[in-house]
Amino acid sequence: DAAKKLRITIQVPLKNHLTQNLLEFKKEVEAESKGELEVEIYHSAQLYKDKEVPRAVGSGAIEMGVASLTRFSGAIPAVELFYLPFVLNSEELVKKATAPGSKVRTLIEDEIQKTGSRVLWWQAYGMAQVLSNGDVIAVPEDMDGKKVRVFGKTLGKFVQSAGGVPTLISGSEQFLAYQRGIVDAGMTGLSGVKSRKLYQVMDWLTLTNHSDIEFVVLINEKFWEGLTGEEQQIITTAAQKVEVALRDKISEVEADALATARKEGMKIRELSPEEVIMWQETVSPVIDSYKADAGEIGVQLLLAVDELKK
Amino acid sequence: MQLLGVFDKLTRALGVVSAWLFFVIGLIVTYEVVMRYVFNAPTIWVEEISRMLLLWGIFTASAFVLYNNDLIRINMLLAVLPDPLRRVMDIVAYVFIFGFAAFIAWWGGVIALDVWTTNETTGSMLNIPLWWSEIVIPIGFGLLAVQCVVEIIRKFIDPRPLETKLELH
Amino acid sequence: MLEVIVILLVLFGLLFAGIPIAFALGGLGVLLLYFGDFSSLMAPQTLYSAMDSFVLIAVPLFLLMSNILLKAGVGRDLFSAAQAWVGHLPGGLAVATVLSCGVFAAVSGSSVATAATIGVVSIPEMIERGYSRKFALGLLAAGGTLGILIPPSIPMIVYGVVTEESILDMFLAGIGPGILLIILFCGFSMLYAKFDKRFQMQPKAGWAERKLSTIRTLPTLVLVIIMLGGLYAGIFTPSEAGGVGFVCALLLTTVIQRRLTWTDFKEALIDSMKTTVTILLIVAGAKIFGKAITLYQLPQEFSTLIADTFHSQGYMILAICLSLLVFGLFLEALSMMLIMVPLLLPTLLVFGVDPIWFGIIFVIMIECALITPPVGLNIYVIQAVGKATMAEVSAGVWPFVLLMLLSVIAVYFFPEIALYIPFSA
Ligand code: NA
Ligand code: NA
Repeated sequence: DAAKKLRITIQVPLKNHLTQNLLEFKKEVEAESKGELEVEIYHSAQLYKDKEVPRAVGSGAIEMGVASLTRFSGAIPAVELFYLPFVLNSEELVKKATAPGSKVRTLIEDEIQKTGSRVLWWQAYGMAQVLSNGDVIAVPEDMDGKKVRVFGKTLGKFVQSAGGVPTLISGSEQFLAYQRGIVDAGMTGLSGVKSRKLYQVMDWLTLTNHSDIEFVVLINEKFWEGLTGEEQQIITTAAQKVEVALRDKISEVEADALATARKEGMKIRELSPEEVIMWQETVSPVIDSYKADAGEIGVQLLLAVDELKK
Repeated sequence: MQLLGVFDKLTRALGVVSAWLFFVIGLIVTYEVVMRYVFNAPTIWVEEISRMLLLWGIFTASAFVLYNNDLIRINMLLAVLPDPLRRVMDIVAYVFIFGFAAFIAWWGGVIALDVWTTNETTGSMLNIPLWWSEIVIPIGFGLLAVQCVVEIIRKFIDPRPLETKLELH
Repeated sequence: MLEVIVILLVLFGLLFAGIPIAFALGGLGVLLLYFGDFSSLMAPQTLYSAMDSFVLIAVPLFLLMSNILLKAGVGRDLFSAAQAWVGHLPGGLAVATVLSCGVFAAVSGSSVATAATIGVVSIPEMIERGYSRKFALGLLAAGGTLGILIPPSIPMIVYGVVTEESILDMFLAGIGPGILLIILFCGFSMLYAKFDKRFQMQPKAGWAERKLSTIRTLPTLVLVIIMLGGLYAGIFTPSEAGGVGFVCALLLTTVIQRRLTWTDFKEALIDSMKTTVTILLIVAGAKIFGKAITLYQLPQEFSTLIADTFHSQGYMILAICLSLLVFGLFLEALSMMLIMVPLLLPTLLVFGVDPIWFGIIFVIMIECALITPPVGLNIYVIQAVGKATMAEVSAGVWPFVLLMLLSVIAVYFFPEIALYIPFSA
């Protein structure tokens, strides 16, 4: 009989490393299943925009999809953990928090499971940094009164807590917004600085590592249960393999983007431990409101992060 | 016949409501520009609320444009058909739209019910309940399906074929 | 490939059977999803997602703006001023008509609104002064299409939504070709008047008259500057420009000129609603159809076929333009864009075509579609405005179709005509 189809919807274009990661998964699964499982990738949001993916996969409208983790925040406020400023603020901490079987990851995946989707693997995207024009942003006072591009409500609250004015601007409009001075500063992942040529329009890059951007690859739970044990095994193995590959690669991608930014004349600023503490003191209201929104699971997640820091 | 009149009234009223929704969008979008550019204080609600109003505006007025015969269609071949045949084709079109609208209303209702029971929100800075906007799909297409039935009944009462109307675009 | 042909044939069948375009596209999309064994939830999800867009908010707002200006009689102001300046030249009235269309196009996103606004005042005037009916009707039908080439432009907004390209870049890229078309139309009008024996020369307007009529258009010109300047300087996005333009137009016609009555205002509101809903329902229906053909992998197959058939970009664009010219005879213009662009998009990527440049070529082909018989909205509106038959209008449009094709050739060989402004911004 005909092969079982796994259709995956993803927001970013083919050349993005998240989609390339899906291609590796496709190769792996199709080879191991000897063509019994067929993977079709619909990139560039041909089928669904990022924010629609959790619902599309959860309802079974499509078998698989990739969504930014924080797209779940409407259903599961606790996922905003990764955007909480200066909480998971180093590559090492992120690696521990997202390791398969970690407390943080298990708590979140169990909640996502309740929406009808199973998380197959996590796709690393890198950490959020701060860009600015004119003056560098190194301490909270530097953000006072500035219009800052953000991508999500928690980052918005972060900017407010430092006295800035958050402005929601999509990734594709970022360049224009910086170039025309619609905002004075902004946050984005390092890879975006290179791919969107943001170094052409921004002077300063502050390596804050204040938040972590994660994507999750989802599969509809009912569809998953309909697969044979052998098929599930093939998929799980492939997922684990490509997850590790991407997390290793992302460090290279970020290093490369940073080198490009430097070469193109951006001024790079690193934070001292004292400055990090200053930021952490400023953002405590954001943590409080997270606890209020995310409830019991949020508290458990924060405790789990504390454990990781020991 | 009286019942048809009641539906027509409702449909016209919803059309007027929709027109005012677009007016409100224009006002709040301008407010946003002024707040951002003049007062350096962008809002967090204009973008999201105006998207929601657009959804409501479009789908609650779908029945109106059907009732008012404003939908763009290609009349080239219909124009040369004899009247009785044109009337049949008009009814075919209504039945086709009815099938589509009923299908969308049903499955859109399934989605709206789901976001309502799970209390899901938009997860944005404004963070409003998702059903506020999702529910417009079953309501809008439900009304459109009803309007198709009304128009089919009207066809049997008044057998004249639809006029080709000209609207400014 | 057989699938592409069958699906397009069924679609044409539904369209010509008189099923409204929005529902022919949406209904066929649902049927395709159903027979392809895709989830039923996909169709309502798609409709919701298609309209859940801040970018599309520009559509009702630009319509509100131009409908308010239309009701307040801005068309007469523009035409009188243009006439005072160039009316005495050979073909002066025609040149004034084209210039008025060009200026109104800069505050209107739609070609039909532009044709109607200027046509109401200029068609009777031109015919009275000895221009041939078919020339006047054809000129207005064609001049109106400047409305979608000179920013703002509803088809450009839709193109930007479908291709995820910057709408601002599309708007800026339309300015150069728009000016080129104005020049071509004016040049043709002057030549035409030179060889038409029935044509009567106009007396030259005095400076007092010029001054007075120009002052009356100043508010509209200021509106044009606010719109284009604000967009160019990054003060607002294209959608926000619609809102600002609408509020400015409202203030202008009520507070400053005191010309817009309460009845006019309500009519403008209702007309904008009707047009918005009819247009955006087509966009929503086309989105379901587009998703269905994507799931059937049709655009991918289509692009492979095109890539195998045409080995150079030039032949491919030529083939696309010829098919758009033919489709444009029968298809409603915006639907043509909504059906064809998703099919062509992967092909453009294969050939490395600049999507903004291609978008401008596409918009000019849409302008042709709007004035080629038998299906063309601008023909219909000029028929109504000029109290003419379809045959009269059709006889008048063909020189302008040729001029539009000439401008496509110019933009093909000199992409800078379109791309200079956005790339230097
Ligand atoms: Na325009
Ligand atoms: Na045509």
